[in-house]
Amino acid sequence: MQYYLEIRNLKINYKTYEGSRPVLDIDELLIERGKTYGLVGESGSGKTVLALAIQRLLSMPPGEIESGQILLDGSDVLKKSDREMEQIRGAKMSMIFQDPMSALNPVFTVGMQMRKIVMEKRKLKKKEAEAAVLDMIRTVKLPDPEKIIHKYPHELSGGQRQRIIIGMALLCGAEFIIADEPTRNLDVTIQAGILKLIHELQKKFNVTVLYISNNLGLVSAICDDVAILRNGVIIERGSAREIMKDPKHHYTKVLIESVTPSRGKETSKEPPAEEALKAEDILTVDKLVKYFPIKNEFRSKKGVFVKAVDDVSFSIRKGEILGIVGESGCGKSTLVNTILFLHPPTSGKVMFDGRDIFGLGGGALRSARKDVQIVFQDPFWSLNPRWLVKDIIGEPLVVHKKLSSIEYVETVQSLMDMVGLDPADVYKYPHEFSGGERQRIAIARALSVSPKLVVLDEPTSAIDVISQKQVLNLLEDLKHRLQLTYIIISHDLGVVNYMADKIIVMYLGKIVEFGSSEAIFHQPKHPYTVALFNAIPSLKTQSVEDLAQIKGEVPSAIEPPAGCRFNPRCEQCMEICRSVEPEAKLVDDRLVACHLF
Amino acid sequence: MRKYIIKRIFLSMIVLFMVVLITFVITRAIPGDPAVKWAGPRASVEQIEAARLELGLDKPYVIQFFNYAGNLLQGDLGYSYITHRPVADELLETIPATMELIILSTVISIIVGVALGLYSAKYKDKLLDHAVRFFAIGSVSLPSFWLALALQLIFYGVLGILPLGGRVSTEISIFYQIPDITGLLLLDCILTGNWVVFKDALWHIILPVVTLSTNVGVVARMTRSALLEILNEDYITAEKSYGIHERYILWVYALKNSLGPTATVVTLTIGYTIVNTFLVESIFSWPGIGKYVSNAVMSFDYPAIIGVTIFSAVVYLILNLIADIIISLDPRVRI
Amino acid sequence: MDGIIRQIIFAAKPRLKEARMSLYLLNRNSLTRASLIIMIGLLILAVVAPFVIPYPLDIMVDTDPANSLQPPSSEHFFGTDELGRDLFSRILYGVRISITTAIVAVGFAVLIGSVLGAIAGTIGGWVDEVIMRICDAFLSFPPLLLAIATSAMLGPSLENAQLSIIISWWPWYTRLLRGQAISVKEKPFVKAAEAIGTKKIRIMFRHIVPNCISPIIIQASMDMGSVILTIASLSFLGLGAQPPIPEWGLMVATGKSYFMNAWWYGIFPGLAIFIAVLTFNLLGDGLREILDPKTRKN
Repeated sequence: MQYYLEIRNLKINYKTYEGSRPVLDIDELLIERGKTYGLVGESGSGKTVLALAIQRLLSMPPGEIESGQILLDGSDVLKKSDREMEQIRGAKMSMIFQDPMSALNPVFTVGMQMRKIVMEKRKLKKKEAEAAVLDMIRTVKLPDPEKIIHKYPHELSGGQRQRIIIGMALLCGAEFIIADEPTRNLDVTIQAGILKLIHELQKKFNVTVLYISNNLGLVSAICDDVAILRNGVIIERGSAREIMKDPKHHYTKVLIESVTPSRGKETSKEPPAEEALKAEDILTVDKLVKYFPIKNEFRSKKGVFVKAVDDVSFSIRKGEILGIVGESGCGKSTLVNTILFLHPPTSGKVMFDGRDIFGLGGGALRSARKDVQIVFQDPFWSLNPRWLVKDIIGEPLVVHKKLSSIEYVETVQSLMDMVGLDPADVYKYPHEFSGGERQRIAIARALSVSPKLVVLDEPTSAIDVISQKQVLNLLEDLKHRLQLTYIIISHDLGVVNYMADKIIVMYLGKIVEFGSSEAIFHQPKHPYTVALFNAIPSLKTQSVEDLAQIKGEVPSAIEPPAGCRFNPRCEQCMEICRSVEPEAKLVDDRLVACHLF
Repeated sequence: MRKYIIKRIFLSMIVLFMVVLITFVITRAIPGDPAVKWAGPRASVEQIEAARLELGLDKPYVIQFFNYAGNLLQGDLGYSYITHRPVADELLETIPATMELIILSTVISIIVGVALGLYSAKYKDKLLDHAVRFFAIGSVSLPSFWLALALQLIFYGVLGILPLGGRVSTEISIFYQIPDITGLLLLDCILTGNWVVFKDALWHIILPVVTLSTNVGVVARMTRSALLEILNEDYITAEKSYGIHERYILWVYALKNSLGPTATVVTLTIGYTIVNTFLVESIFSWPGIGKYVSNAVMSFDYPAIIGVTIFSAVVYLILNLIADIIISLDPRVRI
Repeated sequence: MDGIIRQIIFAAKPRLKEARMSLYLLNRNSLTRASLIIMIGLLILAVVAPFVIPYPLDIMVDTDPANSLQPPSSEHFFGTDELGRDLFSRILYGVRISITTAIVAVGFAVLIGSVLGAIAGTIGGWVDEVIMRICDAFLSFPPLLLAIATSAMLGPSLENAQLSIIISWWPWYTRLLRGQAISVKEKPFVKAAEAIGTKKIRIMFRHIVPNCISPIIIQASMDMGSVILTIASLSFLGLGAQPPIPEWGLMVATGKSYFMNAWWYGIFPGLAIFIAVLTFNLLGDGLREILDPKTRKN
């Protein structure tokens, strides 16, 4: 019994109305006792199916196990009865879930749910169980355990909930833990803390961990051994170091590339000086403020606002690519909605191509929309599922131009050709295309009326890694051909670094750093930027220790901290930071809003 | 929490106002002249005019509405065209009989329905599940009046084991004292220890209650779907992965999550049952609201019809309010 | 011209595939399959009734008092009523009456309810509040009660029963469509259309509404059964069809008076109600199993 978990020849199918579809076909998966094993795969690769199958929690009507063995500590899990499985689950193995909100029962207090586990699995009485629960809450580094046990899941923050989930997995007394993308739904800066916690507790409780993720960089930082899962098949496996240094499979190489933030752009690095001076600003945002009033059933609460965007100023030149980086809640979506003229600002100006956008009347505003288009993150819901591709791509044409039906179809077809789709597919529905292809349709739609500025909101987050590369290259190509200007929002620093000339780093509605992407990536100045870049695992990260963690949580945008908004969480916070808002100063080729400079 | 209740009550008041408004509009939509109906078939012109004044029909609509609403607040539901007695009084007399039916059939529907729903959710797609599904859809498709007739035919006409109608048989009512404390006959019999009458009343109540309990199927289906939705949630999988007993997960965890939908189902059931009594009571000669209404419809006694309508609507509104409050017990709703 | 035909074909292909898939799924459950067949049978019957029933004149015109209240026989499969009319013919004709009345009632309720719901959901704000409060008021009556009250006031007739059903049923569709509209409104493709500059009305009718139709279809097909039952119930109370219309509920009501002597008079029309309603309910339930994302087995 050298291996704690041995999976051999596991074949799992899904029964659909169209017949049986193979979902997993694993020849061999071996995990040593006490080690951390990483399983990397994209959405749809079958990793969650595997996690559930190991615990025999896979719903069997659609799922069926055709053959195979899952040996847990020597005995085959697939041959056990339901009663035996109930004993094994919790006592020998347990799971950490991806979405902490949905993994906790919303109508029971957190304390009650934890207590039940202890009483059930360790057969303790209520008093002792309660003590064990309080102890575990402390172990997962949450303050005020006595208060927390009385809280309901929705009263805790995402990071707190995830710590509770980790605690619950450990409370069972399991020696094997399956962690299914435990940090997927958390902010990057919280992620580091959770990863460190898992790492620490693994050593402390001496458990074997199967860590499932879609991020190779993350996995390589914390796991000893790694396997890459694609379409249900393991295409490469080995120690983490080996795989990162010397990948054999093409797919693995693409995965590695996608997490390397240090791809510079070799091509258009040196625009001729003349051109650079001639290029004028296409978009200028001046002291933009957008507050949302808080509604209270019947009326709006007086004077209480969500300060989504607070005094933001920047400009973009024609032909540039601006990247916007920030975690959820920093205001980037609101900023972009305002730039798209979707809602007028509370104050401040947006100048597009020399004109004050919100000063325009209805008709002029509508025709100005031709110039700014958007490509969304979700390739599925950004296209009307009941429309033909022809109508989807052609909608801007219908709104802004008058074309005969023949011209219309021809224009749409040439657009499809431009983005690399087959023009004959023009009469198909979106669901007949893959995720990457659907993004291309969205891009074609955006380009149909020859815009000047295209906003890309997380254009590659929801598609697989191979398509990501293709889409980014397509965007690059189109930019040159059509002389476009881009704004790219992404939480994926690799994408931003690859594409952007300038970047903005946002935090809680404010810009903390703005300047050339090369400069900022090379040497971030603002403490938040520094922490953000260091919290994201990459090739450089050797182990969990290297990941930076930012203490505390992101405060609410309704009552942001006084002075510099980052001050409560900043390691280098000074007196002045607490009371005075820092001005943006030019430091080393970029603007930084921080009192340190 | 208290704030929420107050808010809900306030909203209910608004809705109540609109209900009264709607019923008022309906009353004035009557073709024909209410004054004529009130005065009777052989009234003279002067009598009709007197009736018009008495009913306040000469005043403008807005004033009429306020009179109407004002009367309602005082519990005055108008006077029956036929008996010229206050509708409110007549309702009070007939409510207890119907209450008895509603309480019994609702309790049965809920207990049996929830249990069936739980088991069909647990044994999804097995024989029990399909049987319950068919039974549920079947029972909802049954016209209640037809079921009543069919049951009468079988159990009285053919088998002769159950009585045709009424609450007690005529012999019993002649020879024995019928207790009347709450109006709920069975309860009164138990309270007074009158077992002879009890047995007779029990025999009489069986068919009406069975006819009205067809909602069992709906309760089972709604419980099943609410439960299935819950059982599909991640937290149930999580609880299973911690190795907690499946029975506990089903009966404690999942059930508490389903309190909200269950309250809704109960309210809906009672609503359906109230209306079904209108169809069924006259078949069983059951002296309740249903019989009262179906007679009123036959004789075009509009105040009676409207009176019952308002009464039922108010009861339903209160039930919905209670259900809302139960739903708000879900900690997520605490705002 | 050629382009348009090609467009239609290309647009229809995936829709046909969807339809074929739905039929396949419907057919898998033998119960649902049976109800599908019966429903088609009923629809055909509704159309051809006047031509196939044995005693067509017995529907409205003829009476044969000598033959009154005869038990079922080879000449009169379901017996005769108190006026000597053949019950079998009248019941078959009743299919036509019940189904056409129900279709019209459901149709209008869906139309009115959906339009209001689309407006409420898309525009939001105080328009939404007002419409929803009105819906709440209508929905605060127990089901059927409002129909009874309205029918009673308007005067008993089949058309008035239809009208009262429309009046009591539309709020369900408003709520349904509004809920859908609100969730569809948030989807990126609607935001994209706004960003493109599409006018609000066009967004509402071409983007939002087509994506809201599916639950309406499910609800409407389930409601067909309930509406047929409601019509029968109203007629039973005396509020719907009036004699001599051969409506099932009315027949049961009349049959009630002769029940102990002529059981067939009350039983067979009621059986017809049961079968018709059961068929539509089973079908609607089957449709829901297929189309409802919550019960879908992925």
